[in-house]
Amino acid sequence: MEKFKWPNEYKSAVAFSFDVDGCAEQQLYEGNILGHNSVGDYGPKVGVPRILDLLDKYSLKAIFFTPGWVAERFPERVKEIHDRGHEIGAHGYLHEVFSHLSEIEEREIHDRTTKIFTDIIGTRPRAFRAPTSILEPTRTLKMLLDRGYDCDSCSTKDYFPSRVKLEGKEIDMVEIPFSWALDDFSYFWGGYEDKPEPAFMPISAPKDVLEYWVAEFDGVHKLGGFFGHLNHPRAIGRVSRLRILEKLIRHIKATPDVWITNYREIVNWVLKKKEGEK
Amino acid sequence: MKFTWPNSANCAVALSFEFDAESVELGYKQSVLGACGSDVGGFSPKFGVPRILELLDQYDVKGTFFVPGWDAEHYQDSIKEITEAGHEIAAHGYLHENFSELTPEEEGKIFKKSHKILTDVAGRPPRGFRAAAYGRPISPRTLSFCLDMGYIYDSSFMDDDEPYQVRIDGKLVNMLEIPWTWPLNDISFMSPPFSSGMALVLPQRKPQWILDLWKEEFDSLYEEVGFFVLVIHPRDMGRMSRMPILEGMLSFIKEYGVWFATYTQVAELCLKQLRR
Repeated sequence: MEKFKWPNEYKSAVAFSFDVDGCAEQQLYEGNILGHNSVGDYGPKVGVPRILDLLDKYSLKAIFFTPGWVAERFPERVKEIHDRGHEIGAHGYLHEVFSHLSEIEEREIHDRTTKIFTDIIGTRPRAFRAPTSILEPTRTLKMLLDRGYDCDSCSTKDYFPSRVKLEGKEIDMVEIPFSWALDDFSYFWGGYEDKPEPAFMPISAPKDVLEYWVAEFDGVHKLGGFFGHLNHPRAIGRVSRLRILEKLIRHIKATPDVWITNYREIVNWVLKKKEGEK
Repeated sequence: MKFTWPNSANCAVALSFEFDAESVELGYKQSVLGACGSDVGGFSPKFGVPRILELLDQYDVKGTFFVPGWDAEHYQDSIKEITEAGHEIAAHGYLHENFSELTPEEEGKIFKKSHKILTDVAGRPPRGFRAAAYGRPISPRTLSFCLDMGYIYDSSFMDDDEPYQVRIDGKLVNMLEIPWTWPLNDISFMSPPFSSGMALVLPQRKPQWILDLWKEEFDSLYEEVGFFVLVIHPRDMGRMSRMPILEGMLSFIKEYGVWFATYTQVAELCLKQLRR
């Protein structure tokens, strides 16, 4: 098994990411955010403030991938995330599936979202996660590179971050993987996510999910890998669920030799490595 | 915690019940003559509601029943029994409609028709509304119709843990939103596999599992939000194996000393505090 070298002799690494999807998909596919469709607003409205307090309590910095349309709807919230020291990542405009878009449409979305975030927080976003984690590989990566992005986070096949390869050549961009097993949606979303495909996901009990996540973390730590945790404020944002996230954080903090870090630090670490170096 | 509850209670608890007899399947244009079990709605007034009324009486708790107009027309005795026991009747469409699929004229007619039926059968006008059709969206006009009917609350949104004042076209109106959520809706854990037009396939959960989850939810909301609602379908919860879940919750919550309230009581109190 390959070994990945983390800084300062750390054995493994952890960084938290949050997808603030809000009602973007409801707006995109249903054309309104009324009634049941308002469920996404729970994220930026109720979930994010609680998450920010939790992160502060444990002095953690995270990344919040946010569709541009959600940022326009909740600009103050996006500013608050940024002002409290977290990174804002781009995540489409209306949580589009990028492989369904034409080149012109995709380019327009990258330009538009980059500008929205730049206007709100004063700096360009540098990290990107494709909505539904589906990108149009070469095309999307080129567009990101052209716009100064240096981080992509769509891959679920690895335990280690790596330099992105474009047409066979390593580029100045880092892929930071996550895992469906560590995605709160797999456990908490419930049965009524309608589009683009109906997804019927059961609602789990928080204490059961904590068991999965702790087991997953212990395994990733033993392996020396990256624990890529992905949460959606509209799902994890319930008090009952943030309580298990807090327990997970305490478990991680109590484990020695874990680099508890954030996306930006990981990007910098990987880009510092020489080509081909593990 | 945005609101102050009576008797210095830390938490308000509002139990809601969706009467949902045959109106649901009729609304989906299904036969209710027994084919494929689509007559299940009849279980609600026959067994589910009476069992729930008995339990609420035993614990001296008042709830709010959202009733489609068709069901109120066809089960008048059941509705009278609910109101005579001191519970609230609220609007829920005529045939459990998905309002986002209707024209403004159709929607307006349904609001007026259901309002009149509920008023006649229950003896007093409903004060609030919850969208039906299992989580389909409302129309852009629904909240205005509610306001026109004189309703003081809506309960169709899912974007908060506690009530908030409704805005229509950006302007605050004298109506409260009392939101709900899937984890606290019984149908998330006990929906039938081929249910009317919903096409939802969710795993069944054991009664004890549901009770444990709801206790965990209650504990966390009691401590940090101060507001707790349940959405109960008598056609689902009313089964003998499941009624202990509701009973378990009532006896669990009773230990905390909360303010049990109907939706109208919540709406009146919160709107009063918001006006200050």
